[in-house]
Amino acid sequence: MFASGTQKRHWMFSGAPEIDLLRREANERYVNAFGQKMDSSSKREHFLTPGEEKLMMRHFEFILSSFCKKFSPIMPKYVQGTALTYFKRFYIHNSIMDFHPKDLMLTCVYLSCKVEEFNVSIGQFVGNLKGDREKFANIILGFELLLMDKLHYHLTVHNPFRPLEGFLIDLKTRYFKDKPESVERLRKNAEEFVEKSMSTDACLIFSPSQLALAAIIYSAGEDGISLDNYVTSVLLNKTGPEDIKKMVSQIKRIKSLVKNQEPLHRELIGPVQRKLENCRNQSNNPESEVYKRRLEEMFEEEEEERSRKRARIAKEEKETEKQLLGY
Amino acid sequence: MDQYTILGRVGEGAHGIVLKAKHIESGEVVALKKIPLRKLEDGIPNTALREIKALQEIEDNPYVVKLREVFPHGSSLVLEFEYMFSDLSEVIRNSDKPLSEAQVKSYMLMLLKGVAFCHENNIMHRDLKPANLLISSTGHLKIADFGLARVFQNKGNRLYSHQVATRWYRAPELLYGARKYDEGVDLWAVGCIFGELLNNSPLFPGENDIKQLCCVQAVLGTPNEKIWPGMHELPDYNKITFPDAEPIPLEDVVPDAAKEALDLLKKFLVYQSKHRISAKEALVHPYFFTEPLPAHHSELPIPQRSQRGLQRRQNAHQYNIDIPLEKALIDPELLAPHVVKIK
Repeated sequence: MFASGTQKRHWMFSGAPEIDLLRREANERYVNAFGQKMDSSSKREHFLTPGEEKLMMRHFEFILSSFCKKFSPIMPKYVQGTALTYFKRFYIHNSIMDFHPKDLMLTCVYLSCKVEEFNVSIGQFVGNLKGDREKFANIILGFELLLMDKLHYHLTVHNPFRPLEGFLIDLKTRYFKDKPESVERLRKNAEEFVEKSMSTDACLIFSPSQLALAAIIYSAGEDGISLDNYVTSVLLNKTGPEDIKKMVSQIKRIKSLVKNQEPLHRELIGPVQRKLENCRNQSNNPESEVYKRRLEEMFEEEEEERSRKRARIAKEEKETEKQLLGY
Repeated sequence: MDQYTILGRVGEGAHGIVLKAKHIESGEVVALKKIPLRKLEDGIPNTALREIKALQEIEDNPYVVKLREVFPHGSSLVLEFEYMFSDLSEVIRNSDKPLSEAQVKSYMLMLLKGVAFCHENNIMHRDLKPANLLISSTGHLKIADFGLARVFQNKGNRLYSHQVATRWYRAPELLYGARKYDEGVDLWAVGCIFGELLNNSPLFPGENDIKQLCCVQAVLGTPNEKIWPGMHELPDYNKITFPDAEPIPLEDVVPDAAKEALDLLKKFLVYQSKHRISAKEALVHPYFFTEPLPAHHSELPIPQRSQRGLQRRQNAHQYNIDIPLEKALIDPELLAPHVVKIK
């Protein structure tokens, strides 16, 4: 249930300013940690600005979505929705420079597949990628636990797709009783609206059912149909005028957020990406020597711990044997 | 992990070990489920994800085991649960005498409250069985092991795996390979557990999947399209046929049970999932309101996992609330002659 779940309790924000502030703080934390000895102008030159981070985020969200759309077997929309939500949540408290989005993006999709019970093996998953598949598999599995940890193990995501189905059914049975087939016509535009909303931070600000309602109202509007009467006298017929007013303003906010989205400036991506290569945290770069060494050390430590344990057990067994034999 | 002192090993699961540990800072004893990920080809196992997903979403409930924390430890994932002394299967196995009616009632009440809570939150457990019903040091029952739990959607057309639930507690639709099913599978399992508590032995102890169906049909009779509409469409329906069997009255199967107990049991063990009594309804069944009333949790056995436990159990009698208060007090009459007056 959304109303009592982790999404509402931990991952809903008052609006874009709050999210931007948190992301700016994450950016600052990184710059302060890695640029201690730099003056402010070289910091600006070396590190990504919050605006540049945002650009990278949107660029990789786009890649994530197209990866999901081309995925074989066909991936349900909610798997993509959950993956995008994970991605957005992850980069609220973490800087793009700390963890490269190209690594985290794949990990988000892979985790989403599992959580949403769209069962594909890791082999099948990386089969959708071009290049060194084993390397990709290692990257994904290497970041899976970290991703979960940064998401605070809140895995459930409520997407707008289900409430959208609900509204379509509700319209058919309670509002357009005479011509239920006309409701299906609203589906296409509404789904497109939901999809567009996923490239904004709407899922961090509005509840899934509000997004779905905005989508269906928008779609009806495109068809020249007004759903005002449905909203006020059918859907919210037991709600007071104050709450209806609030709802109407929320729907307006969603529509403007989704429709006034700035286009992605592709020409800027290249330079920022090159800048990112220089300022990213190498110890979180799966291809760097630091990362590989750290991983090895961790495994060695665990191996050592295991062998220590084995040695201890063997010793204990020997002692009991000795006792049994009466030495 | 530095925050814990490991006290011992509690058990071993499919994907890791369960340790008993003391949280140093709070002094609380907890159970740590440690899942090493390094050798797992597909990364974090689905069972762990399902368990985290289900338990993170629900609010605290006294009848569902609490997931206190999740954290990484090296390349392992660790789930921290409240520590539980034992489980219902040990209660059934270790009790020297059969459980009393009041005790059975008490366990059923707690089990149903837990199941009702899960179902209200759209979670089907899919693997209810005595070993997954943990018993706390105070005798409380809590549902655990949500490794097969699924969030269900009432109108969804999603297909689920039928390879769920431990065989003895597996609902007939699952045995016939159903891929679309509902929370009724849990209610069937509740019925099986109920029967086991009443009889002190499993109700349908099938040795394999086919014999399992045999066991069920030997008691409930061969199902037909009339009492179980849609059964012919189940994937494995045509793969097996059984000789026609007449139902046996449950009175004969569970001979010592009271009238109300049998009536409730019958309402769980129904072929058609939709017709099984819901956990919420079952909670207001007359069974729970007829004498003897459900036992207080302090009157329930608390078997120990270890040998040392036996001593503890005897100690527990010192706190028996049924012992009259006078027995624990010194008679003032006896003291009177020794009282010295102070000016």
